[in-house]
Amino acid sequence: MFADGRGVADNAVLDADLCIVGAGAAGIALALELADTPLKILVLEAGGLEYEPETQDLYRGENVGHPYFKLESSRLRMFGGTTGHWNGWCRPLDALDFEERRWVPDSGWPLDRAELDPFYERAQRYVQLGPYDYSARFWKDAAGAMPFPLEPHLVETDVFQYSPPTRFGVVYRERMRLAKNITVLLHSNVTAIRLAAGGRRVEHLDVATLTGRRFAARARRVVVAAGGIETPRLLLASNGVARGGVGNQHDLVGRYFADHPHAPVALASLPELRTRSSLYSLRRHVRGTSVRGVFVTGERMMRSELTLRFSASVDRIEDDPYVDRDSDAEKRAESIGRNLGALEQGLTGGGKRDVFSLFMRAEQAPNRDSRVTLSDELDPLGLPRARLDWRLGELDLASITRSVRALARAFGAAGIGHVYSRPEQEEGFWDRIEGGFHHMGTARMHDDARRGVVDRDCRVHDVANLYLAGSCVFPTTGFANPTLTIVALAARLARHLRVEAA
Amino acid sequence: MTRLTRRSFLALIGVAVAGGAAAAARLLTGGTHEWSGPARTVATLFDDPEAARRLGETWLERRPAENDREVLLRRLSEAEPGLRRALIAGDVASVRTLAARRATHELAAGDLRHLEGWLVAPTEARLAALLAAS
Repeated sequence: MFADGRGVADNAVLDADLCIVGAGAAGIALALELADTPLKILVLEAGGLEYEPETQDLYRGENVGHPYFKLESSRLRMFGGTTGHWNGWCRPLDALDFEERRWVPDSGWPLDRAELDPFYERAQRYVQLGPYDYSARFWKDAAGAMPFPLEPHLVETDVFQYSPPTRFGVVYRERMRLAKNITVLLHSNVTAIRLAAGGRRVEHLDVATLTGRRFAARARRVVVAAGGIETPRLLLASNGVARGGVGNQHDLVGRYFADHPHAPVALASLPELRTRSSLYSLRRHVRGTSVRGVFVTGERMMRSELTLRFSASVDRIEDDPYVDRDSDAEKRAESIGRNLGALEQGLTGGGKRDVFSLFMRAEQAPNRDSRVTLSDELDPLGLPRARLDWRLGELDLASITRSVRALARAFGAAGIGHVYSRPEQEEGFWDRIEGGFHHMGTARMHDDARRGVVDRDCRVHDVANLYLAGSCVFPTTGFANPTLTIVALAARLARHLRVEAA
Repeated sequence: MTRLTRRSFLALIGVAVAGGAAAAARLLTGGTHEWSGPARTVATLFDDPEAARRLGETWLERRPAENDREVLLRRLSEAEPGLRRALIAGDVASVRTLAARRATHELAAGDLRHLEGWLVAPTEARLAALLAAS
């Protein structure tokens, strides 16, 4: 059922078995995985069912690092959370993303991909995808469109699936309403996590509404699923018992903020017809599923060149909104690309070439100095606003440059085309890198409490009944958009809570 | 393995692709440019030799020391020994095979050179430069 925090009596104490803070992809999936169980679940959602500017304004914050989107624009404070404006790109993290890589400090998860696979399969259904298969081989067979024969140690073709995209706040509203053991309390902002003396248990949550109501929620277990910026904000601001904030005894909360660096990273002269009509074209529909092939740097190359995960999708250059085709530099780059296409065709055949834009979605290395802290400014509820200092490191930049070179090597080796490297040619390229609204890593998972905020079960180290859900726990991010993994982790957490409650 | 399209095969044997003697003439002259010797062989490789010439010009703008056909032939020969002989002999098929093989090898090995931001193999760039060298 749905209720509204603005109708709760002042100073009331609401009791539940499980309290979930936040009704985005993680919170809703977690609640639904536990629907119709004996657990009495209270979901505290800060927003309403629709977008409300006054509520959204509570997300306003400061950006003090690499240029980033306004914090109130890159997420949504309403039932359904940021799925209200996501684009639907889905792909699980790969096995390599879970491994510790010696050239990527602080990399690796305390669990492997195989452990998440059954939950990824469940997550596929939540975000309304097709078969749980992301190999180019599977989709090539289904699509009947051959990917380019690239040297796999340099570059491979991998596949994204597209969610419709699933707006969790719309698609799952009725199921949440009908679940007998779930109460969603709207307009209920958690302003503090109150720990019992000694700091080992959550005693209750302070809740406030913008209309001035103040009450508490008390539960045997609490899951904070408020997003990669809001979760550390709440943990850091909850410093009544735990100095420095809840879960922050080793100064990790808010650190390691990561997004996936996005940018038009290259031009490529490629066979026109094969590129336009193949798996690489935008959102190809195959047996009811929308898929798209992308170029991904190969594992062997990554190990030898010490690079991070990197993917690039192919866009018609006229469709790339980031490219200023009227600029002289761009015109010249395109012109040379067309001449190179003619050269390539003359030497190796393969049909007429055209110039395409390659758009990257890359991994960011874990970076302790990239972080969310608290601003000096308070929001109307008295909570310090978030301050984001997004930082890209040398490994991130070197990796992007080397990965573009790997594309050039792979295309060249296959005799299909050439690559224009924006990182190497264009001044100011680095400043143009954007994120993807993917807020990750700020409460990372590690078995060692000195290196992670949560353990492998997403439980905050040393706080027996507090869990975190969402991309804040990702210790390493791969290049894949996070939603599918967020939902998979929520399903896995639900299993853990079910077992624990039993 | 070099792939030979129908179009490039026709170009190879000197048949006009777009039809008529004018196109055939363009094949060897690049419109306003006339080539002889090894450059003529290179021009025969391409449907659009003028596009290749412009690339070569761009390459030479940054490398004036290579703006000499003898220098270019020497560099090409150092990379792929049979290439010079094939270029001089007008053996287009061999030039195509040898140059494509060498360029592919260079690119795969990461021997990438900048052409105003484009990453190219030195052999393919020098081949194009033969069309622009004085």
